[in-house]
Parts: sequence; structure tokens; C-alpha cells
Amino acid sequence: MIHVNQIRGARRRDLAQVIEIDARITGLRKPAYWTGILRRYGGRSPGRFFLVAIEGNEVQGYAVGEVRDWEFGSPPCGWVFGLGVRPETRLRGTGTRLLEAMCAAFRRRRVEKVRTLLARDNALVLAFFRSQGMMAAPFIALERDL
Amino acid sequence: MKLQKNTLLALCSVLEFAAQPGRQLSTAEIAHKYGASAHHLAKVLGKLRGAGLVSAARGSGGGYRFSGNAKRVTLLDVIALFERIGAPRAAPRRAFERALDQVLAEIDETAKATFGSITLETLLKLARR
Repeated sequence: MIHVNQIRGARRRDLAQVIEIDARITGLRKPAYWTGILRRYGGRSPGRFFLVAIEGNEVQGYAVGEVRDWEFGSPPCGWVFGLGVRPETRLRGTGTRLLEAMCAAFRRRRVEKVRTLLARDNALVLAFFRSQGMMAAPFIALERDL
Repeated sequence: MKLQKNTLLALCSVLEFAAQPGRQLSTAEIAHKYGASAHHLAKVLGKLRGAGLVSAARGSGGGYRFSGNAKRVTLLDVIALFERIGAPRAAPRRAFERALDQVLAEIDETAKATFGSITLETLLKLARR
């Protein structure tokens, strides 16, 4: 059952709701971060996308992504690095519609692969991306303490 | 990465049930399909039943039917009924053993995250592709 009636590019007036949704999911309010995301991804920058799902006048979810070229030798591909849905409106297809819209935007940029990176203990979002047909990529994420 | 025979049988069985949620399947039917003994499978199904993933069907023929939520139950939920991925090992004393243990723990964590992120419904979708 899908209630969201519009997926569109994020606007300045959506920002407060995006910040609120992200804060509810992560427990952290990051207004400066989201203002920066809107500045860099919210306009018409080629290959950069900041989308929101709207129902009535309310933002139900958001997705941020971009096309990255030849990162670590990989041919251009789409990266989704942010996706969130209001906890109370989950399981209504909002995340699916946001990801589909993001993939459609990537396809228009002629890329054939979409990737994301998640914490392995983020079972909920991992399960969402898996349910969308995403599989482990041929990369290993590494880190060390500095 | 290798799972025990029982675990694989449990996963295949629960997927058989989840693929046809309204239908009751007999132990013999599944045992035949996967080349397992009916006695062995009955024990596996007993555990799945205990976890609420299948329920015994009444009436002619008996058997079981799916009673879980395919959108919520992950492969790890089923696996955990039969074996433990990343079971704690005795604390190694030597430096090489400790370093190897760290690498093995890393592999276990990745395996757990993978199994924990794939629901029965997602696996059914994958199998139909």
C-alpha cells in the first residue's frame, strides 16, 4: 500500500522535516550537515540528488545519492549514502519509491550499478536494501584507529 | 563458510513452507526432496515448530504449514536455532593465535550481518529471479 503522492527534489522548506526525521532515526540533530547537503545536492548539480517523499504537505522520507566516477577503479556508479523514512510510516513503500526514483535518476546518467554502504549492525536498513535486490558488492570496507 | 547439515535442512524446509504459506506439506514430501530421513527431518521440524515458524496441520495427511512472518524472519533467526555463528573460542594465549582469532571474528561478524539482513521473503525473491 503506497500513500506517498510525490517524490521530488528537496527544497529549503523541507529541511526542518528532514532534520527531524534523521534525528528521530539516529538520535542526533545535524542541521549544519543537512544545510550542506541541500547546498551541494539539492540544486541541479549534475549527478547529485537529494530527494524527498511527500504526502500532503509532510515529508515522509528522504534519499541522498550521487554518481561517482572511477572511485577505487570502479566504473561510474550510483551511490546512495542517505535514506530515511519516518518511523511511524514505514512498511508503506516510501523507501522503495525513494530508491526507485534515485535509481531512475542514476539510469538517466547512464550508470548501470547502484551501491550503498551500511554499518553491519544496522539490520533494519540492511534488510531493506536486501529486499530491493541488493547483494554484497565486490569491495571490502576497511578502517583503523588514528 | 559452511553450515551444518541440520541447519541447511531447516533453512530449505522453512523456505519450502514459506513459499506456499497456505499449503500443508508432509514430512515425507520434504524428506524425499532433500534426500533426508523422515526421522531426521521430524527433529528439525520440531525445532522450527517450537520457534513458531511452522505449525502442525490437522486433518488428513497431517504435515506442517508456515506460521511465521516471511517479511520479518531472517536466515539468522533460523540458523540460530541450530548453531551459533561466532561461538566464543577459548582465549588464545599466543600472539599468532590471537591475531588469527581477530581475523576469524571479523569473518563471523560479516557472516552474521549477512544472514541477519536477509529475510525469508528476500531469499524467496532471490530464488525466483
